[in-house]
Parts: sequence; C-alpha cells; structure tokens
Amino acid sequence: MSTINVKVANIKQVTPLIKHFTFVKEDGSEFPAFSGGSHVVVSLNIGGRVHRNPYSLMGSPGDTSAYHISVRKQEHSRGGSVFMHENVTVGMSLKITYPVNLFSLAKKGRKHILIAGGIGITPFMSQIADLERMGADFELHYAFRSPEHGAFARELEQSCGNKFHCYTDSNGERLNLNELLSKQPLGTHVYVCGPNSMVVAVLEAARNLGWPERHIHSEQFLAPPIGEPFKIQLAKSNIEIQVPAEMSMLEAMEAAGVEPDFLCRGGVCGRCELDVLETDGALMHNDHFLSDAEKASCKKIMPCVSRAKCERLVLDI
Amino acid sequence: TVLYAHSSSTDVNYANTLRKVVPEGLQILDSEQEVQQALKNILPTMHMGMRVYVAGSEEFIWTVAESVKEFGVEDGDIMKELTGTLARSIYCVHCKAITHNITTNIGKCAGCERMLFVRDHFSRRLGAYMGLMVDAESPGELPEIEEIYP
Repeated sequence: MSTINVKVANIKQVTPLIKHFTFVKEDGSEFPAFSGGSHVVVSLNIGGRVHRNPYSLMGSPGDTSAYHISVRKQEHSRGGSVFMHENVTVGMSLKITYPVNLFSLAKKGRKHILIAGGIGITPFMSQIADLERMGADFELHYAFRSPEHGAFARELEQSCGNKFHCYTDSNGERLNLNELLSKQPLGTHVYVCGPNSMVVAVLEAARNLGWPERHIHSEQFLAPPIGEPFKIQLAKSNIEIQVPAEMSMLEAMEAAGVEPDFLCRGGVCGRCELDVLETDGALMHNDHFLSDAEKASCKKIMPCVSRAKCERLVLDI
Repeated sequence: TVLYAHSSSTDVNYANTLRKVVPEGLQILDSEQEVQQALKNILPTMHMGMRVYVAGSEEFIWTVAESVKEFGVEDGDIMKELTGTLARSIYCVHCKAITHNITTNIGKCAGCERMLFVRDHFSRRLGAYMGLMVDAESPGELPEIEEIYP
C-alpha cells in the first residue's frame, strides 16, 4: 500500500491521556486533500515489528499543509498508542497511508447529529469544518469521563456555539439518546464514534425508533484481539505462517512479506476479506462485516481481526 | 397515520374496512389529490423514524415519493406497492409533456399530439415512462394499438 513520508512537527499534551500530533510532509509539499471523517494508518516500528494503527484526521480539510491526529494512550493494548506517547518525538520520521474515508457525511442530509465519546471526538473535528463550510444544520453531542478528559471541548464550544452539547460523566450528566433521536426532522442523519458500548447504544436507539440504516453511521477503531497462536497456509503464496498470540492474521502475513489488501484494519470495512479454502478447526469471527450466514458458512474470514483454533486454515491468497 | 381515498380504478371501497381496522390516525378522503394534499400537510410534523408505505397506481406512488423527497426521505426508504391499475404516465421525449393514464402500448401525447410508443425505460424523478414518436419514419402508419397496461 502506498505510503507518505512524514515528519512530526509538533506534539501537544491535550489531556492526561491524549496527545495531539502534527505531521508535515518530509519533502515539505502539500498533503493530499481529504474529506471530513477520513483517517490515515500510521506505521510504527516497535522492537522490530511493524504496528499499523489507524487515526482520524482532525484538522480542517481546507488546510493541507499539515495533518493532525490525536492518540489516546491505551494501557492494556498491544503497545502502538503507548509507543506514540512515549517514544515518538518531534522531528521523527514516520510513514502514513493516504487518507481514506469510511465515515463520510451524507451530503444530502438535512441535519446531522454527531455523537462522540472520549477520543471518538477526532473524526468529528474535520467533519465540522466541512459542515460549517456547507452551512449545514448540525449538533455535536460530546460525552467524556470528567472535565480534564474532554479534549478540545473549549475549542469546540468556541467554534460551534449552541450547536455543541457536552456531557461530563463525573458530574452525572448523561446524554438521553431516546430523547435526542425521537424528535429529529425528516432527513436527519446520526453519526457516532466512541467506545463500543456507546456505539451499540446509539445504533440500537436509532434502530428501535425506526431510523433507516442509511441514516445511521458509525466508526470504531477496534484493535485486533489477542488470542491463541495458530497456523495458516496461503494457497497462492505457497507458504505456511504461524500467527502469534498478539498478532492478527493480517499482521502475521505482512510480517512474512505478503501484502494483503486492507483499509480499516478493524473488522468493519470488508476490504481484507479472504476466502477460506480449507480448515480443520473453528473460525473465530471478530468482525462486524460478514453476515451471520457468511460467518457460519466458514467460507470467508476477515484477517485483520478474526482468528482460528486449528492446524490448517488455507486462505486464497 | 393512514391516508386513504377510493379510486375509480377499483370496484371495492375499503373505507369501512379501514375504519374498523385502523385504531387511530385514519383519514378517509375523497380523491387522490386530497390524499396528496393531506400528506403535504402532515409531513412537516413528522420526525425521523417515520416510515412511508404507499399503495396505488404508479402515478400516485411517484407523486407521493416526490412530496416526501422534499423532506429528505430517500427513494430506498419508501415501501411501494403497485395496486389497481397498470396504467402508465408517459414522458414525451419530443415536447417533454407528461401524459397520464395510458393503458395501451401506444398513446397520444397530451402536449403535442404525437402518437408515442410506450417504452419500459422509467424515470423515478419524473415518475414516468419514456414515450417516443412511433411513426416518425412513416407518418400515419401505426402498429396495432393494444391495451396492455389495464
């Protein structure tokens, strides 16, 4: 996959757990244009192994002199965010992919309700720039743990005024989804990005109220789960790969020199889907892309997040 | 909310059945035009979560679709059921007029009086089928006219 060489131009501690990184192109030229909601995948070389973490672009799409991302330090994780916080310094060179948008605004929407939880605020920052430019009707609802964890809240209050509503958990402020979603005019779209429980709650509330699927949008950056090691065989590449406990199949294939297709690396976009030619064990589907029937058929698998318990898992790649 | 009008294309008037079956929000109106107007009156009060189900002739269905589209309801979210008549509205590619209630394979354009062949090409935006002059090459010589959309 094509990458862009970038240099870290600035790092800012925004909240105790969140750092804002500013990237500029190594060669000093302008970045590619992007639309609100896009993300890039940052490659990090940690102890000889390449981690690829997706991060939403937070800056205004109108400014292509720099890309802005924010990273939340995840303690119980595979180390990518910890590395970003503790080892990445100003001036360092990194590789990122071109921006991809799997969370775009519905251009024909009459109104947009944006719901963010914690670090989930990031894709909305660039979306708001687009919404303001379009003169669109929108509301941003931002829920976070406690005041010092509300990244960019003050900035958002200034730019969005009365369109911005925040809910501080520690003050007992709760967003009432049913109330919010039951009185919206026709043509409204709802977008959610945040922890899994919040995304599930919004999807469920909207669906129960009768919102059509195409008016409900969500984005989650789920890290691949850790599991037991297992073996896979690649039919076309003619190699066998041992997938370690803390690596996804996709990462194990990349480490072995294979270059499978990917986009979100989080089990939602479908780009990395592979056909299962043969298996002697059980597939553990961790994605949100395949249908229940497809998962049960064991003929397809999403290597970015799913795993298996087997000696043989022959993939068509 | 149920909006209903009896139409001349069917013999049965379902008004009484609906009165028994629909618990609330039923409006019995006297014509398709009144239904369209009642719909326009109600739409501004509706919220997300509203589902649209429309049953009737094609012309009726697409007029309803046009009204709800103004409020941001997209075509894929409207459940449509064609009932009663197969009659088609045709869009004259020559003078751009739309002629309603054509039940035959060839119909006369209400705008320019050309005899138009009724094609299967359909425009959701216009709610009409494509009609083009059937005797352009040999004026006056028409194929047999048959009622194929009763």
